[in-house]
Amino acid sequence: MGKTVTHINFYTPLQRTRIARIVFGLALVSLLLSFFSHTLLHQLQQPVLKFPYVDTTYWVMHYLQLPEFITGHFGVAVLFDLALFASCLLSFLYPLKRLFIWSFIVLYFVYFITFNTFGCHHTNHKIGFLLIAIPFTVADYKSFNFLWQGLRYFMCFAFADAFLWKFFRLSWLYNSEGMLILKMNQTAFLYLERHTGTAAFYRWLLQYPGLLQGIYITGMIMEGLFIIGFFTRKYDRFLLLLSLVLPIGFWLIADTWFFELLILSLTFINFNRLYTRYRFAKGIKKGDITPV
Amino acid sequence: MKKTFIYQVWLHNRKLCYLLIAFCVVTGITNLLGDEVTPFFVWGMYSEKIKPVQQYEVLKTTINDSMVVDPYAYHTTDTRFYLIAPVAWYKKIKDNNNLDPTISFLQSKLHGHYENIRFLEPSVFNMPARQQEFLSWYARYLQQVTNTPVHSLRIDVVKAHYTSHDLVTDSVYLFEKWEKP
Repeated sequence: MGKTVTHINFYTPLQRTRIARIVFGLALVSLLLSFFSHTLLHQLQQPVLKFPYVDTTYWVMHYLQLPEFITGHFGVAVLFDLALFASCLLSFLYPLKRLFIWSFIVLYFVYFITFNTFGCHHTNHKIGFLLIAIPFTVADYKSFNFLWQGLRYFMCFAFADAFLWKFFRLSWLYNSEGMLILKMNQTAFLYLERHTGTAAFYRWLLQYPGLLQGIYITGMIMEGLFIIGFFTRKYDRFLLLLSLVLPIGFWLIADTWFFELLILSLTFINFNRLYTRYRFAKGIKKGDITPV
Repeated sequence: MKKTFIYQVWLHNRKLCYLLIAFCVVTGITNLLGDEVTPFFVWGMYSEKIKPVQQYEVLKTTINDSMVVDPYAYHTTDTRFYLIAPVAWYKKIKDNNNLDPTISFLQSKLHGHYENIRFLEPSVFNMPARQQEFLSWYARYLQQVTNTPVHSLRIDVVKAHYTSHDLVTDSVYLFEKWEKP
């Protein structure tokens, strides 16, 4: 089994393979979700408006006309989507074949940029899948472990950064911030779905601006707690729980879908403990070859 | 110090260590500047003061003069995203006198230096030819999502305000209309 070096959990090559299966299995689920959402590139119907904004990576992609070329030719878009699915499936089946992993990373990067630019907004929820495959690109298991832990720090940074931005911009001092976020994001819902129970819930919330501000501040503090993750791994189970709770709040108040980002929450899980429990539960002895 | 993550990486592989440090430094710079350059992300959403407004705007789309498109009827948020965000961006372009708001933003920030990047306009921004194709695209996409042949499209702007406990519609007016040629 793996061991702990200083504060870092080290996973064995076998554990790495198991983690890869979880990662690429979830990536496949995410891609299937995109298919049913009509947002794979061949389903975009040759979009016209784009939103590179001031992100120079998007500028380069558009200057090369890559998103336009792929989505502008139905056959190319179908081939692209098939290649994306195939690279993900092959990474799931053969997690040690780094060519498949690299293929998935490159294709998903193109998909990520194209999805965001033609969706006319730079969403963050797919960032997790954009980065999660990187540790599997290295051959030696030690480098894998360091990169995996690097992703854990990235996840801590994402939430801590969100906290710091709010803290230094003093948005927490404006006592109607929570209510205005709700109004800004849920007006269309309240107009189009006014007879639903959820709309009634939002109307009830609107009567209590203090409660909405409390939710906003609580969410902000929860984000700030991820700073702890930079100093110790002791509270990773607690941070894992927070990373699961926060997207519910984002979804409820801001109509923002962050559940796909949770793929990075896997880095808070101690797979050593998880697999030890599994081995005991199955009555498998240490050193036995276990099915992957 | 010797127990820190970055020191462990340094001992293991210096190239990897340099790469991680470079990623952290560039991410730090993009955060200090407040400008995201993928994959150096800035997580600053909902951190600035939201200005209260008297009226909120909803874009209501009706297809074939009868079917109001309800993006919330689709349970995958990516579908909702593609039904709402592009049409909202199109409205912003129209409200900006048919000029891509990113161009206006860059011109206001760069002043005379904007001329240096003007050559990017046709490939990077939404010029009039692209804008004119938008409604045809929206009809195609709606046809796919709703599984209904779309012959005509009507987009209304709904203006509404909030009382202490509800949303009240003030006015509805036509924004765009499209018919299949």
